[in-house]
Amino acid sequence: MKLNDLGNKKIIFITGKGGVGKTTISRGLAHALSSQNKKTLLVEVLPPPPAEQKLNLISKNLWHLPLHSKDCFREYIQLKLKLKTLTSLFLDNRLTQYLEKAAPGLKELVLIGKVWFEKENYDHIVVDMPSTGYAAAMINTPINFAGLFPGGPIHHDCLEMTKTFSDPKTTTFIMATLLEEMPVQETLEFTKKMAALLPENKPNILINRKIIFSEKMDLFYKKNSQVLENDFSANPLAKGFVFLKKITESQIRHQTQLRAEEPLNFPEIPEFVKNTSSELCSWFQEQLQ
Amino acid sequence: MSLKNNLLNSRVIICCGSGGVGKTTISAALGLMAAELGRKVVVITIDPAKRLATSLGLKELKTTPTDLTDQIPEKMGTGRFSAVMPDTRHTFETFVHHMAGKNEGLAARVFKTSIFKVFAKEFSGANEYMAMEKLYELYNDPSFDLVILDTPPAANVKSFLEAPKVLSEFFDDKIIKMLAIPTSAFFGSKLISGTIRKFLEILENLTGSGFISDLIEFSTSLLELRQQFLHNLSSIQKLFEQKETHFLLVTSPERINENENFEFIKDLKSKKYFFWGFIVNRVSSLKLGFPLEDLYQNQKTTEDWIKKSKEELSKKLDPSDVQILEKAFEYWNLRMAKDLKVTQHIHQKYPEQELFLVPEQEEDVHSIESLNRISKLFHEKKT
Repeated sequence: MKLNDLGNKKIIFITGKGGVGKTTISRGLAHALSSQNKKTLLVEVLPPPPAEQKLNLISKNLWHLPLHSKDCFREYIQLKLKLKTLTSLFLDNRLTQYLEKAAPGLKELVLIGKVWFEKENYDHIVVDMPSTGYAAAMINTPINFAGLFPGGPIHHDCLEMTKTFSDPKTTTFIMATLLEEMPVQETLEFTKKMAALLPENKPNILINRKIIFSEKMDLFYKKNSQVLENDFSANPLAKGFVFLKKITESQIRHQTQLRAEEPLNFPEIPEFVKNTSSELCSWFQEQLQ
Repeated sequence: MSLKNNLLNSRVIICCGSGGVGKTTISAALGLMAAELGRKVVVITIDPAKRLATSLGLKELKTTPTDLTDQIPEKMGTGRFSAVMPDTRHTFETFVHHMAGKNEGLAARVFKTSIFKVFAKEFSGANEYMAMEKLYELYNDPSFDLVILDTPPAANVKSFLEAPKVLSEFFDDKIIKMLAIPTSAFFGSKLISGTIRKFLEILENLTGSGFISDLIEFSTSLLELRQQFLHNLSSIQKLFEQKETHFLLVTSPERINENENFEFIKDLKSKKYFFWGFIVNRVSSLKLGFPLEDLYQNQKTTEDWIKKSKEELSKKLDPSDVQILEKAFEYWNLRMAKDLKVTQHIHQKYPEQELFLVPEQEEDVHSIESLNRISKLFHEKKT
């Protein structure tokens, strides 16, 4: 799978360790996809829930939907029960309200279910997922609930959902990472976990914030490293430069470690000085061509 | 209260913060420092990504604390350092066993229900509760006099504080009692109104036959566990309210969300929990030698330093070389601007709170030695 294959995927899940840039990447990618004249939905599946679940048009072709599990649940029940009297009888029941609030996993199920239902309405859905552990649990919910409910429409939808998520033609999982010890460890753990959950659709690793240490910089470093480290050891500019070089070396080590265990099919997202979604959007636009 | 005094005067330290700020590293480094001060410390992390294990250079931790005192390069005196990373699934089973007491049949019944199988998976509410349960257990363990909890990863720092409320809703007795009536009563009894009967029919249509009886089975078991659960929850709440329980917020300049932090602190205060302050991790200004504390307290900028630094370089290097260094420094300039913004914000908004800065580290922190380096920084700060 190459990065420009994302143009053919319906659902793109983005996860990663906390702090690796999931939200910025999701926004940048969603903007880039929508700029190719594809109707795109950007969904954030992150607590805290918004005050109101309302679809917003951000720019041409790009829609944004902050998800609220309560609304998703009601919408789903309405869809399944069809009759208004039945729907209100069910939804107004205290036991339903209890289950909706307290049943473990139900919130996650309706959120991910909503993403799945929306796939008919868009060319692309970019899903900004929570961090890895929680994301894996969420992807696992349809599998769990299919087992929990022995039959009926929810059981059926859960199986269908898992089928969609397992299909690499429709769905892609992106595991964003930084080239640092902890995110790399978590990436490797998550990739293994996902391979066990959905063996046909392994996540793709996307490296974020790779520092570009140009040849010119490298040459200068090689020539002057002694001077910088001895004569200017207290000089902030010199110190910053040497430190940047060390970070670059450590990044390369981590990339090598990742590559030894998993294929790295995507190019790295370079460190943008300001790291805004618009910079990322232009980067994705270039890559998608 | 200084960092050292906090470590000496607390029985419990709860490290909160959003994912990716280095909470696990900071918790472990605080633990090391407290052990060096003579405390018998245990650090708990409930973390699906098993990060404390990485921080401690260990592949795997057991559910019972592992004593790591011997692995610490420094002499400890009477202090001890242990770490524990309970597996959620295992902890939940232990919890059910513990609450079921002698009633082994009850525990077995709970484990058998399909609902338990879902509940025992890694959901945020359950993780947070397990963390609290473990905290309470180790707090009562005479082998330790300080428990440091690295809270489970969550997108929102508040989720840890909200978990008890979420779980109490799950144990809502009125509803459980309603469900816990034997199955036959549900479908046969005249006590059940037409509405409820209709409701159950709908539920059965949606979930397939068999789920309702599973739910009833699970609820009946829960009802028996409820008393103990609520008792534990209120003990945990009382523990949180104690003066010896200190909450602190770990954050980083790249990750800080001011509103979220503000909400979190408001929440702590409304619950009358003791909040001692902030640890800002990965501060690049300090690594590069800028006196950030002076900068944020006196509203200074780094411009003069950078100018002077350039002048100094120009004496020995060509202008084109200085330019290379200056260009590369854009990366740090941006990060330092964030450092300044964050610390100024905290300083102005929470002047009475402790603010501790940890410099960006050259190498990743994943061994006892590197943790010890951070722990030393805590010592060095004059307070």
